[in-house]
Amino acid sequence: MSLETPANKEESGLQAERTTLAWHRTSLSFCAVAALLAHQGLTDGVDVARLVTAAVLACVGVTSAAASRWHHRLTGTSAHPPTCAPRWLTALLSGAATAGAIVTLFDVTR
Amino acid sequence: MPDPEGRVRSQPCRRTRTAMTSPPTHGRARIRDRIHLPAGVRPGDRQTGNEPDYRFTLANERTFLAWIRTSLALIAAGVAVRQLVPPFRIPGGRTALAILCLVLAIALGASCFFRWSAVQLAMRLAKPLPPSRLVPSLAAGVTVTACVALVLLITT
Repeated sequence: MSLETPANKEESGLQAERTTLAWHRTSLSFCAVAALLAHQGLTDGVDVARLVTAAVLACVGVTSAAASRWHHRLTGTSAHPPTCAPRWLTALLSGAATAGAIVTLFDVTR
Repeated sequence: MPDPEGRVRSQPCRRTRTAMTSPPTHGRARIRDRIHLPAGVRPGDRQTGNEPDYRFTLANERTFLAWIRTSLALIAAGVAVRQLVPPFRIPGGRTALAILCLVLAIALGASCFFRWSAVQLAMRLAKPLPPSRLVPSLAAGVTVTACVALVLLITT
């Protein structure tokens, strides 16, 4: 239930833009953590586990940026108001962050 | 329709019947019990209820992304503490701090997806939002980590 006012219609584009920016910030965060892990993986020899984790996180970051841009481009128009993000995409982000933390935990404790 | 073992159910399974008939309980009550899911409905099912106001959907999405970024920041903090911080006088101090950060990152990364899903379902069903354990967990985890870091710094 929402009141249709000119201000609300104008805000619809702003809400979608804020969400798109949030996706971009999240993608940058994935890439930043991937760069940190890659740097640590190349220091004092080659650590395959860290490099693989970094590659996976970087791929997830790029994928989430592309997928969110595609999703919001489809659903952010006047004919199609924004809808919920795909469940697989949120599961991918959550799973990648959790897996990255688990792998890093094992790497730190060994 | 028979299940894989060939049994035909004439009524919902025990778990769903319990969720449908029993009142919401406190403490360790599950999201399904608090929201009273209809039979055969999974949390996050897009076909359930009505599409909520898009502004609330996008706000829920932004909140989920904020939790993900917090988890990633904790991963970076754990790596940085272990690799970049000089050793403390107490042996294993850096490793302990890194473990605290990474365990917190694992908890947040795994929980935020279910939180997003439960909130989205509650909005679709026009139910009150389920209470969250993420905020007090994060506050407690950060407090413990800060106390451990303080002790390590004082003893150095």
